[in-house]
Amino acid sequence: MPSPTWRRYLRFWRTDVDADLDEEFRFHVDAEVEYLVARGWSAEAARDEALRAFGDVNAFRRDARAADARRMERTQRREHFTVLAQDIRFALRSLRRQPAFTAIAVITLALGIGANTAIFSVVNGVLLKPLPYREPNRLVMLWETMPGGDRPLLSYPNYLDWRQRQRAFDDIAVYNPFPSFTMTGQGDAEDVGASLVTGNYFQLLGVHAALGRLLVPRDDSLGAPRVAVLRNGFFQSRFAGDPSVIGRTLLLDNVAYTVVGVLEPDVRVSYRAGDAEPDIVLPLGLFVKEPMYQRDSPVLFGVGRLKPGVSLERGLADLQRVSAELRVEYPKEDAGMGAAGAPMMYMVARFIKPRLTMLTVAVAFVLLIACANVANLVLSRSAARRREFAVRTALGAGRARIVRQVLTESVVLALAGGVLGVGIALVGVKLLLAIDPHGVPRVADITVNHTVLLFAFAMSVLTGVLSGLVPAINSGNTQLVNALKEGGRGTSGATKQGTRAILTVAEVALAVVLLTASGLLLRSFAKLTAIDPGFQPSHVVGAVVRLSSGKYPTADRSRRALDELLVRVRALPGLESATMGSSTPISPHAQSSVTFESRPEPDPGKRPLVNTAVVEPNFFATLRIPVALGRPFTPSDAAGQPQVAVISERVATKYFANANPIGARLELGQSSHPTAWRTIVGVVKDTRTDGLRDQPRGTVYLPRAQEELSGGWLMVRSTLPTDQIARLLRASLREVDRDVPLVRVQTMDAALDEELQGSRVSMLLLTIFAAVALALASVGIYGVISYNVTQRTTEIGVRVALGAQRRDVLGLVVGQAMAMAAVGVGIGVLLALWGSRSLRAMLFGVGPHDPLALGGASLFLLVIALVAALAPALRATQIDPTVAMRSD
Amino acid sequence: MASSAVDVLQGTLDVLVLKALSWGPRHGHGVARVIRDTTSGTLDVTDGSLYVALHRLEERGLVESEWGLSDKGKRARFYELTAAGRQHLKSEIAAWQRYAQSVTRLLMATTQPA
Repeated sequence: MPSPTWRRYLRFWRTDVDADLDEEFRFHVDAEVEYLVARGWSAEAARDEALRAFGDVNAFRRDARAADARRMERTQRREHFTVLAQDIRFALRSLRRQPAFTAIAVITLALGIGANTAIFSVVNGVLLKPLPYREPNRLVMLWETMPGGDRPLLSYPNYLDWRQRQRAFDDIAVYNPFPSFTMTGQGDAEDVGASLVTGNYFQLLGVHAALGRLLVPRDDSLGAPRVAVLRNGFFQSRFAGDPSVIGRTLLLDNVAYTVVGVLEPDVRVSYRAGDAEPDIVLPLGLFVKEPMYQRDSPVLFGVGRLKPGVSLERGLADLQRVSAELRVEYPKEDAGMGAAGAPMMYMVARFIKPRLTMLTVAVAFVLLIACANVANLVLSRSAARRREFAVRTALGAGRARIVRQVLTESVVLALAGGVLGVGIALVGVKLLLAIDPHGVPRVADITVNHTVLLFAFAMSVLTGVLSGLVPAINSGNTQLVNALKEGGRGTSGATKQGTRAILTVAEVALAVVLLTASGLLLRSFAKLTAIDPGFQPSHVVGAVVRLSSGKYPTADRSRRALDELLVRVRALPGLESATMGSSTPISPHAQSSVTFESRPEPDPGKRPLVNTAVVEPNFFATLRIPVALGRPFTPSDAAGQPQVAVISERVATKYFANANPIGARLELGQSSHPTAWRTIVGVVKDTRTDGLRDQPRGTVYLPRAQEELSGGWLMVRSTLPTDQIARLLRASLREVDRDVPLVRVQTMDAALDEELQGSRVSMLLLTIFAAVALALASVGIYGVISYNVTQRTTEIGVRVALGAQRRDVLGLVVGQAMAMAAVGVGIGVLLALWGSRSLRAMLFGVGPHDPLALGGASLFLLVIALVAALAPALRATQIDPTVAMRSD
Repeated sequence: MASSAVDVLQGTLDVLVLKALSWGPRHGHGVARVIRDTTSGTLDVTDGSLYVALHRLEERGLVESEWGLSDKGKRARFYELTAAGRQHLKSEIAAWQRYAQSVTRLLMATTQPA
């Protein structure tokens, strides 16, 4: 039988119910025996009687034990709760007592949590939230691959063959998100964006109508009645949500369409990055006679729904099989054709994902720095509270209890920071959407919703634990006796100093990484803005004029209308010059295959592609695109005259190397052009036709007089204000035709700027985060050095008493700060070297290991460290040795 | 003795235990002796069931227990009424009195009720 003392210790850890019961029962029987013996019973008879009177020991033990177990469970639960409530109350009280500390900590954490929450709401809306289609993970985008082609597009006849012969998909559909129409008969003429989709498109996606019906397969053929579906937002804004719009007739390019339905709200026709959101949706089948829908002209985006259980690889293999058949059947058009595809979500997110990943890492760094900072703050505070902890320990609070108390405090801090952080995130997201980040898909899905709030809450708790862990473990280590002896002011142990230094070094390192990244993006941005677009954009305003084929059925009619427009515009006062082209120097160009007379026709599978543009003779002069060789177009390059072309330098070097291309002849292969040999009369400098970042493909220019052009960009050079120019142009256009709207009026500067917008936003955000990181890190350095000076007052006093000069003291303190900063910078540079490669996709003109960015970031941090250390260092020089040494 | 003893229902046993503790803390054996002595063995209370009652009362928060030393110097578990227990006992006694009075009045009636 174990001794009661031994068992008491056992009970200290865990009440031993069984042993207790046995002991209690045994005591009862012994006492009863004693009682009976005292009344004259024999020992044996007394024991028998006591046991008989007790009854069935096992049954009673079982019942009593069950009651005990229930009671203990309840007690424990209540105790946990009480302790938690107590801890929180205590934390609140102690935080209230130090409002400055609390405010700084809460704001620091709020910055970190707010930045994370804001970025997460973007990530959640753009990347995480599933697309609002039925089973979106089975949806893929499909395109044909062609040698020399690099756009993920599909031609209509190839689509029809794919669809009919494939076996891996439930269905395949195609759409064209780019056309626009002039809507008339509803007040002023208006330009509306349209998406042309096949009749199976909406069924394939699983999209429903809010009103009426969506397009179905029977709408999708040349002879079918012309019907249209409206985007919900367009239905609301243009038709005031009036349901009687169903059945009404819309005039689009002078052709009547009957409205049959309205899309559900919050669902887009397509989400691919770069797709415009259309106002109306029309059946593609009505338009397939147009030359752009021929087999050799890939202009459509393909969408497929994989059969359940079929992988994308198997689906593509199936389409490869069909494509191999097509290569044989259409050796000219489909030479070298293949099939490719990607999950739909990939095509939605592929441009934004690297940026969001970078920003997510950046805000995570900011949060880590914030945590380190608050941990440091809590550490200095807990140093001051050592006496309190020591007293509590002496009064019986266990180490676990103290650790829990400190953790509770930092979690409470972080939750307060989280509340403020959600506020910051709300403002941040609103600002972000106000900038309207160019090219971010699914902007409408970026909100601070319950998923985001849940994230913020989890983030706060995690932050609390992170920032509280180090101080908690540290305070748990308090050496009771020492703490009490030192009288609470005590020079806290070397480990605590070490911990604080490590935290600060980590902060500096993370800040260096962020600063380097932001430096790299800044330099890229500077390089982007410094790119020569190949023409002089300032004071040039452009606008799109498009004549509908309904009203202008012949090329002659539209040419005459455009001629008249140009005459009127050129007569306007205040305009230096006016011109017209199928594209601006930086807007997307049509593409065509090209054949040069002097060169043998290349392998049919390797059709070289060039950009094409149809322009007025004064196009180059107006936009100030330099002519390198030969001549630009002149008015004598008229219809009926010998056909001519001007090529850009890139085409010249690519196909003529060092030979002079003037006088050579070329033929454009696109079926829409009447095929004929054209003589090259001039070579001009390239403009950035394919995006600012990319080298242009090279352009073949054709004179408008020798081409069919049913509209395009009207461009004027003038120093008048943009809106005045727009007014003048509109007036001129109205005089030519009231029913033609002037759309997309913008200066060339603005158009260039728009290209920079995506880079600007990520650069700006990263710089903001880097600045926050820098501020936090400098506060961290200041805090540690300042605290150190306070701790070492006596020591410094002794040094001064022993003859140390002001300079020595300054050197001592600043030296310590710089040592910490230097180690941090060193680690940071290594981290940046290692990590910046992942930024490569976002960089332009600078390498990921750009010495200027790295060096700049390092130097900047060292300077900041120096500044942060200066104030406490100066304070240290003011220490009066007599006061310092007496202060104990 | 056994032949004339009355079976005790659990609710009644609880009240008896509470009453036994109303004069101060007692260990289980002490409670058993009080009940047996005051009722001169007319109630058939198995000692073991007393303990079950004590532990249940503790679960309900009507009594508290603590280990201490018996008057013989041995370790024993002592039970004590909590405030709730005292309150509960009071209301149980009142209820019992009403019950007993009613039953007594009826059983002792000499005239037939109208």
